[in-house]
Amino acid sequence: MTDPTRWTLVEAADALASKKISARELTEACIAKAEVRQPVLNCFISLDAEGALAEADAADAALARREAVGPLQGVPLAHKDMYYRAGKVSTCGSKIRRDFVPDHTATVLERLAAAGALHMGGLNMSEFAVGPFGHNEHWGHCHNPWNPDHVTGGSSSGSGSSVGGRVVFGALGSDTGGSVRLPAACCGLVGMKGTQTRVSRYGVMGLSFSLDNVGPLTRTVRDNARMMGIIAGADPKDLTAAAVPVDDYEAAVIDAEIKGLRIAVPSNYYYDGATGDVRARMDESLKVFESLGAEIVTVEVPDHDKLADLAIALRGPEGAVLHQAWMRDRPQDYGAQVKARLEPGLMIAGTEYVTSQQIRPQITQRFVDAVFAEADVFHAPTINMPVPSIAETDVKASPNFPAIIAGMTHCTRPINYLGLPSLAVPAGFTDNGLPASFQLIGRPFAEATLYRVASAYEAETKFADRAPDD
Amino acid sequence: MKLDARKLRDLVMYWQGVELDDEAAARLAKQSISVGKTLNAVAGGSMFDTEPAHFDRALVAMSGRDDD
Repeated sequence: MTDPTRWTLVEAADALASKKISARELTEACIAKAEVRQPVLNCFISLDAEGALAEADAADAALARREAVGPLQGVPLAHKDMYYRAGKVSTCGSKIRRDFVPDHTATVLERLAAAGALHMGGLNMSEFAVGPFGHNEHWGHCHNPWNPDHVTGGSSSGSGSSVGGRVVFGALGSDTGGSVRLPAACCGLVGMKGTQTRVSRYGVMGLSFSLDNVGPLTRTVRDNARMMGIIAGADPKDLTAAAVPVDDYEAAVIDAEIKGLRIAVPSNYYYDGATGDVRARMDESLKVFESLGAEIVTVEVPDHDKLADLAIALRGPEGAVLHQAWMRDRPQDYGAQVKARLEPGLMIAGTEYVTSQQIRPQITQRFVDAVFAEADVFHAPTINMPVPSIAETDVKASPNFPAIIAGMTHCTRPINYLGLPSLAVPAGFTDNGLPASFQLIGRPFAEATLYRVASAYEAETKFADRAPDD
Repeated sequence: MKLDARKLRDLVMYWQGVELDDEAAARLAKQSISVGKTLNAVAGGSMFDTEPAHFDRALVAMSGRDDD
């Protein structure tokens, strides 16, 4: 038998259902992998081997009794350490919440558990989900499985590192300005930020309720579609979760066909400052789409010079409200850069915040009109530079940190303000040997279309078959 | 009125009770000016007929779906 940790999530679920392997055997293989990788990657904040094995035994017992089992029965997952589980510590990657024990469980974790998934532990993350590189002053930096000298991307650093490192089969991250898509891009994974409100945030640490999104990171498009299909949808515990019906995402990826599809590429903004090797990977990906019968059209995207400020006007005050008491009483317990990034929220005027909220539908409508009148999906780099090293980005609160962060989040941040779904897809490798990635952006609630388009590309390029230890 | 670091530091202490160092105050002053300019520009038209549920409703309308 091949190393089972190399399977995709769907392959693992199929192997368990057909009793090719037991949940205990699979979990033991993942734990063994975690013990080897953790000293290098630092992807876990807490590895719960005992708990995962107990869940695995229960999953095996259910399979043995031939009970109806879920689509993730016995599959080991782990999640960013900000998804609450009643009675279990959830650190939020911080010193301040080092011992925080929530009294309730996140809806998304309940849904994954109901689908049969196992929980391997809490994953490393940027402190309070603030930080696009994945650095953490309290729990140690997380490392990229393709090259541990490089960043994982953040803030869902452990999610990218553990799934990319073939330790677990999938992980939840959260995305307020790119925090699912950036680690997916840096670690060679598929990462979904759904339409704003597509997934319940009940029991999930907040940063900015207008911009926060829950999303999965996986090795393949189909894996991602399966996880997203399980977690998406209305939730009586979170009235902000949209009641729009959830499409069958996994059905969309089977034998995906894109002949005649129109793909828009930007004539402005997204390639500002892009390196030559990133441009080359993007051009190659577009040629693949053309070879599959898609048509490429060029569009000018409106308002992008304003979107960073508009997003700050939302995220700033919403984050500052959550953190104000600690910023006043425990400023020394924040990492320097995290504190510096929360402070702007203290000086956004109420009128600016409300204006940014109220103008948002008009701004999104202008983008939708400009892009989706011409095309079915929008294609842009996820990051327009090669994955940087830890050394060059570990700048804490030095004077150049805002520019370094702005560079990393240049392509992801606008999409959070627009509220649109965006799927990060592996697109080969840049000259430094680290993964490259493009994002596909769609109309609101068009996640199934994004999965279909990405799946056609993945089947043609086979990038998902590559692993860091090949 | 010019918003400088010193003024901003005093305002944040008065409103929020949070103490900023010189560097943070200078950074915030710069950012506040940038955000203010942008928001003033986009809010050029009347915002009278808007309300908080606008965005969620607009996303559904923009989806083009007829199943909801």
